[in-house]
Amino acid sequence: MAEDSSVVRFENVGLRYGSGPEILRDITFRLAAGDFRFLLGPSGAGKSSLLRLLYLAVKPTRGVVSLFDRNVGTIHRHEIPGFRRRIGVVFQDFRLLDQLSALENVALPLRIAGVRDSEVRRHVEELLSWVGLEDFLEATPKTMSGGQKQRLAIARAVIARPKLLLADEPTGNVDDRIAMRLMYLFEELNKLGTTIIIATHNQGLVHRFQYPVMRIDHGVLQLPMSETPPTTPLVKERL
Amino acid sequence: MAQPSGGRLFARDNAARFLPWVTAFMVYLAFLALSAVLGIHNMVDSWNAEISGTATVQIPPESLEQGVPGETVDRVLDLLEAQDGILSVEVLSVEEAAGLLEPWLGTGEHVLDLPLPRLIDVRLDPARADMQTIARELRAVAPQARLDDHRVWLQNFIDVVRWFEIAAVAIFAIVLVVTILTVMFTTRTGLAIHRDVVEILHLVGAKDSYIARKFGARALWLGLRGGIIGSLFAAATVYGFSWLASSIDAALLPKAELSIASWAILTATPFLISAIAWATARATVYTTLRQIS
Repeated sequence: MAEDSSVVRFENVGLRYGSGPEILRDITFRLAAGDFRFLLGPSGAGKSSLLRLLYLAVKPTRGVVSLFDRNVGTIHRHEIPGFRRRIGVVFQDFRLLDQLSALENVALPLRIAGVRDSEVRRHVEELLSWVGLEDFLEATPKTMSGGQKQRLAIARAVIARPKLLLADEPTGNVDDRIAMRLMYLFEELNKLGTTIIIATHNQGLVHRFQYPVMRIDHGVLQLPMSETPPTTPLVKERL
Repeated sequence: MAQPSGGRLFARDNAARFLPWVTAFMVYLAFLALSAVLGIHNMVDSWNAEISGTATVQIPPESLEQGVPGETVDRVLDLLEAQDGILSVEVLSVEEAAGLLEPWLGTGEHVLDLPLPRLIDVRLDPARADMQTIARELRAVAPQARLDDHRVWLQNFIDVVRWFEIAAVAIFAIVLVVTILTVMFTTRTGLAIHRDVVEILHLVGAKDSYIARKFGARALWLGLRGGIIGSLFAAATVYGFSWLASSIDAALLPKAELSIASWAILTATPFLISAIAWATARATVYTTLRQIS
């Protein structure tokens, strides 16, 4: 992979909310297309904040975050939707629209992207069948269990085949059989070139799938042993 | 599978619930104000067409008694016929003059015994006839004769009517402003209430234009529903007033009837108000989202 063609690039990134303490400190890492990472860390370590930086909900207070080779600090407001269409996010609290059916929730990214009606229905039904929700096409999230909502949220995140998939505890509410099925879905996407970051507490999943792990604790990121952080001028200076 | 509508995506909130009723009331007022303007306009136009080409010469009975009546009338007729722009002159008989007074004095021989003025009906071309010259020359041949130029009277009437028109247009403008402010308020409130939905839409890649389209469609639909209700009530009110006016026996009062073109304009009122609601909702979404981002 060429030096400057990364999907995600963090250089000495720091993040604080308002005048509070720094939630993330000196985060430096790079992910190329097709990379797969688990993100581990105790609650409050900064996992969700790192993901928020990745889906452009917040901007870093220092350092540089680059997505798809663009410094997010230089992205105009009107360009953000274009970036988000390339990013799928599975939120821990699902963030589904209760007033829409399962079918419409999953179809939303495709509709927003302007995909034709006939294609939308076919793709959505196929995917909902894959995540085991084929009998819930017209059900609203309010009538679904936590596990079903989670699968629905995952289906919405992957329906548009994102280039970067971020999942916050995507298997937290489902049994092992469904968790495996969802992981296989992520793997299939990954094989197609999607870069995937999964924040999880599920050690069993991490051991079973053997993907590199990024650990975060007290806002500081520890990369897998095999990965050397890029030597930016600031890092060189500190070294 | 249809695109989720603004109504489903942004489930009804209390602010949006009263929008159709406000719109209905606003359209009702706008419809009435507009129908008043158009009715008065049509009335003035028809009077103008009727009256501006005519004038009346009145020769009072006392002047007739002083001389030979026929001579005075002949002198006046000769003078009028010699003027540029006079199309025709017609002397009204005493019976015809008495007929004009019939609504007040009734019929009968006693009316003919009254000292009635001689009236000369003049048809003229308003563009060519110089009324000041005619009046001056008339005074020379029949000093007590009076030239009634209807245009002067009509102009005074038009001046009064113009104020009614301005008031009606002001009401229409106020209705538009109130509609715009109401839609702005409901849209801003809707955005605040459905902040989570807006956030999710943004997170899955929706542009502001997508959200603006949804809010615009919602405002259009709610506005149209309220607008049609309001215009139906207003049309019934206008029809009621027309019926009342037609049942009053007022021969001298002009008829303020609405032409087909006027009805076409009035029918467009709910659609105009809905279009304004649609445009306002869209503009408000763009402005608000830019402010809060």
